[in-house]
Amino acid sequence: MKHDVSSHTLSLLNRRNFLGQSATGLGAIALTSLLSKQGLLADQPAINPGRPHAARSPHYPAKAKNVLVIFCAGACSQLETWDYKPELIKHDGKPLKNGPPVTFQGPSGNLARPQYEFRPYGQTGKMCSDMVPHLASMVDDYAFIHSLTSKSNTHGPAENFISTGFTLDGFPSMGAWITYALGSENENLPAFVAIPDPRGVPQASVNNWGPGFLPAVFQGTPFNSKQPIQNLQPPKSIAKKTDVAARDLLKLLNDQHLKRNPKDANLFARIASYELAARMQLSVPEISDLSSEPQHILNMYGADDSKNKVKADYAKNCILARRLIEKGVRFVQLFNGAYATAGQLNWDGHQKLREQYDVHGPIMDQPSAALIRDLKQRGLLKDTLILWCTEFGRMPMFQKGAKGRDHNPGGFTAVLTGAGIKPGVSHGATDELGFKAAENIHPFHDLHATMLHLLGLDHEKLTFYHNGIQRRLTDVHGNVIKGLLA
Amino acid sequence: MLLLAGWLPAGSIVAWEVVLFNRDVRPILSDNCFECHGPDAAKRKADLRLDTGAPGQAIINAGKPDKSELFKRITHTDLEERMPPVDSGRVLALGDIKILRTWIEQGGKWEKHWAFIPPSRPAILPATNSAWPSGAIDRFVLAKMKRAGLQPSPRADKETLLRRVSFDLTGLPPIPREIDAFLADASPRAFEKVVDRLLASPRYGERMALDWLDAARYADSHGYSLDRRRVMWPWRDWVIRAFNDNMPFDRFALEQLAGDLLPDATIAQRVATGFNRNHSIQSEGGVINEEYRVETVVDRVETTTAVFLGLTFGCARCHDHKYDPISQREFYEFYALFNNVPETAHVGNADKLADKPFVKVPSVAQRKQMEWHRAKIAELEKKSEAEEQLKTARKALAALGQALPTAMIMGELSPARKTFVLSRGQYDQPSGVEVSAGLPAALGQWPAGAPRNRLGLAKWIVGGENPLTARVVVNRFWQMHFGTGIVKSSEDFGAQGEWPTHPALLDWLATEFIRGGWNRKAMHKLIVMSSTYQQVSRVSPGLLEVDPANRLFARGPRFRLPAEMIRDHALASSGLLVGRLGGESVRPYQPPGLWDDVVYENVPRFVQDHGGKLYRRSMYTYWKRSVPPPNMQAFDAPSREVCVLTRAKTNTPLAALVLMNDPTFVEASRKLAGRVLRDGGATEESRLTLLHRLVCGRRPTERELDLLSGALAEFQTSFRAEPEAARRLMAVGESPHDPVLDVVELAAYASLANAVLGTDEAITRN
Repeated sequence: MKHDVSSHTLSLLNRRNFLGQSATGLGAIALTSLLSKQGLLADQPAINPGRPHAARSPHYPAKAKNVLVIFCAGACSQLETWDYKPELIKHDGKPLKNGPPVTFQGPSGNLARPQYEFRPYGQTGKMCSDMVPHLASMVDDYAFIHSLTSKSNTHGPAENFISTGFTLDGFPSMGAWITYALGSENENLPAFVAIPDPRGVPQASVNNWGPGFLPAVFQGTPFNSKQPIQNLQPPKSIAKKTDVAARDLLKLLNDQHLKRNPKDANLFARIASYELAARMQLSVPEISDLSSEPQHILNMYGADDSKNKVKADYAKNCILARRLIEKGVRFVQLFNGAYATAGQLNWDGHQKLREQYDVHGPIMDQPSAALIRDLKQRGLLKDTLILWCTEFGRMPMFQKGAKGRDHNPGGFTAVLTGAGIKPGVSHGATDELGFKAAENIHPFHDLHATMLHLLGLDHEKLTFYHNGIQRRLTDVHGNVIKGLLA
Repeated sequence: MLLLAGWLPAGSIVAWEVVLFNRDVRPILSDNCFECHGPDAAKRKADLRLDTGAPGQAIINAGKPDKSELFKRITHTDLEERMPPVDSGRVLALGDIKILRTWIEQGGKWEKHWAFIPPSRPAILPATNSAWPSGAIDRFVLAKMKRAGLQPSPRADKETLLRRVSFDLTGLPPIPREIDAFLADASPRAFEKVVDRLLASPRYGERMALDWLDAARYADSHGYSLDRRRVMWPWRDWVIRAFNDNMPFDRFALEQLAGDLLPDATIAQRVATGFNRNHSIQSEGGVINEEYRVETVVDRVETTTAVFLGLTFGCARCHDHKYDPISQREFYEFYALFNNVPETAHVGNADKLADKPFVKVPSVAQRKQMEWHRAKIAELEKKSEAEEQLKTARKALAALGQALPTAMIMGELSPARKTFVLSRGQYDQPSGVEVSAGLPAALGQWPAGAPRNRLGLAKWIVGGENPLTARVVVNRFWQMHFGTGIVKSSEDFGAQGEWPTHPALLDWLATEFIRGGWNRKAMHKLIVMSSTYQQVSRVSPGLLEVDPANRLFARGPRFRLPAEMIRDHALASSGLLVGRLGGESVRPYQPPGLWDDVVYENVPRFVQDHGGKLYRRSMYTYWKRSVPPPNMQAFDAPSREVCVLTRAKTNTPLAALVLMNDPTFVEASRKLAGRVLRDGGATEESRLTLLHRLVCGRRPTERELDLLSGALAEFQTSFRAEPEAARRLMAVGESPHDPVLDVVELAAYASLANAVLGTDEAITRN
């Protein structure tokens, strides 16, 4: 076979320029077929089907470019981490006045003091628990919100709520919304990467990063330091050379087809997607290969902790997250904790909370803290918004006959830091026992609205038409939480 | 006559000659005014309604826009007085204001929303083009084309046409023998013969069922977080059979909505009602049952109204609909029809395949076996000494009964469950308002004498009075064949939906559908026999500029194949496809550890099938809602969690990776290589030609032959240098390779086949 590779490459480049033309170009035309009723509103993203992940402008100037979510699956207790309640220590062992006799899993027991000691950290003197000393060491950089509420007290629906704004399955995840709006800064990597915990995925699994009714191209691509992307390589290593030759042939045949059907934007788009696939075959193994990371970095994250295999694996996921953010991946959702197994694999501490958190705390704390510190050291926090969160809180009482806390969607904490976030603030509060949000109450919709706002997106204008409704991440709710903004 | 083209909203192609309320004015009012002056009584301001004429008429002075309050307010110089209010964020475009002005000048009359006026049969236009003749469809399409100054495109060549219609009607590519026969048939009826053959093929039912499974959110698992398996495939098989038997659509709808309420309902008629039991069911411990039962009933309302009426009732769950005349109370009156199922809405942690109510569905063979056992038992019971034998026979019968597949069905509680309007749609906030079953007033009257239950509803849906169903269904036929419906928003015919590009054609098709006894095969034949359908899909630069999205149908439709057809095509062209119709869902290859992530404790992991089950049509692949088959999802197959009436068609790199590396596609490539080497004759050219015909349905051009031949030489060289790589390639997938054939040659052709199977042309229907 004789073909001039360089001229071929040139033609691809020309084609890409062609597709990259402004809204009057082919890309804009094909938008109508790609996104059916989209584009009727002026604020809809103008998506070029040839480059669906090309960076797009937000509605207004953005504070943040990328988002990193550290999601603690299983409902990590606010009372054992960030929501210090001295009154709860006083009332240890007493019943909660007018409290619910029965909660999610069964009858309530008495109030129980925080299972870890709290001490002040940083200039702000924020009280944090002994379970999270590494994360607490950077407390002055954080903004806390202590008064979040969820719409569900059940793991699956509540994780859906955090990740999609709806408790039901089938809605687009926040990462999908954001890549739909903004594309990515790096077109050689997926725009949205979900990094499941080494122990497995959380209860709502792929719903956390699914496209819902958005086009498939905006779904999160799951992989972590242990599990590669599906089908990235041939099933049995066959031969690199033939692989490349096959791709060349494919391009040439597609060119023939394009010649017969000139100006078909969808054909251009498909060729572009092949090229991205080919680039991903090179870029993904490269980014997943941590062998170039120096010892002191491995050390800082705990990736070389030979005594705690899960921690070391989670730490490697944290390094992977940093590498993805570094390369301009728009949205990274990093999971800590797998599905609910009565607290064995995640934060669902119903029975023996202290015992379980003594396992999970060290896995999460040092690597997560190292990730934030590393991003800060590299100057990446000025463009990156970090959100540490969980699906709901836990009760101030123990469950009857147990030493653990039941589900509590009435009040819980999230931590934010990075781009656009006001450092050193604590916004909102639960009541004195940490039972219910009492001051500046915010349903999680408000955090979604805030996240979009920092990305330069108006949460009421970022919509997608589906089954007769212009859908939004925030449904019909959402208020930007001004108290968290720098 | 007005020349409005310059400032028409984007997407409008033709300058309208007169302003029509429904086409031009209603969308402006709906987008800008209805939220505060529309059907929602709670949000209505100033007691003014602009969705219906009676109250709105007061602010119109017919013929005199400047003396009409409406026009004064939208053009008011004082921003405090100007409508829409500044803080609404809405601004009327200059073009919109001009349309409203012209409308008032022309009389300012309201019309009922077009889709709520029953279709009347339009006169067929006279033929104006003797070179592009044919039937009613073409005349409607041509009239519109001419007004836009366009000409129809020529007929597609025979090979393209055969491939197009084969995929459209059966979901499979034509085989070389069929191509040869069609090419050789010079009779004027040649294409019609092909169409008749395809419509008679059992593959027709499978292809048509594909879209229906999306609409009915069919899956093989219960959904939500535990997502255990369920057995609903007897319902799926009912659907396929109904299509193949050409069951009239009115019957098809009636049995699925209310088969259980028919007198002496058969098992099949009860199985049909599984349409409204395909929804997800919770199994996670601790959830509040009533919450999910309410979601289930809402899902039935949303699915039923979207599929049969093209309306978005869901909006009226929490408040009166903002755009369509459906009040919240009317939503719950409709909801009452589906609120009476004796279900638990929770299948629990155990491996429970069905929530009640359900039926057991024996196959013919199973029924015969059971009859045989029953007869034997009866016989043994007469003999006193046969105690042991009797015990064995009874055990065998019981075992047979246990093994029967189940299907969840609809049923009615007695006495009926009470239905209340739920405040803000919340399950735990029933208002004091109790409602009984009924239809929204704007849609019509409950048929006289019909029972106030699902059967009465079904009779109204397919009765003559309902303005929507026939239009909605024929519009989806059109969408199937042209990629886009005559009404583009095929799921929404309400005020927020799009105006039909060809209203008269839509109404003609709808009335024709009813006139012909809701005969679906006849409608598909009518459409594919039209010259409109048979045009070449190539687009000239001029045409592209005038009509980029092909809304005027001045060229043939081209689109990427749906997910299932892409995989089926690979299986078919390689000869791997196992054509068995229906039955239990199958588990072909999946990426390693695929379900590990979402199976909990005692939920079974993915166990791959072997043998023929690896090569069944994709619609039989086990559909787990939380993890749909990735090689389907990459091509926009939905998760089946909710009703989907239009699939997106996007291009993702994950799709490219599937075509290159998914084991099914790699195995198909090497089997295709074997087929080509065995059946492709002795020369390289004849082999490459066969390969190309099998995959693209046509002979390759000389240039393509050159490219294929050049690549083949390259593959041969590299595999000759590394025969181990060839052997590894031949080991992908479980089907054996022909030991007679040379491994290096096979591998070289397999690499070639892999590339060809992944080309745009292979996965596009031109």
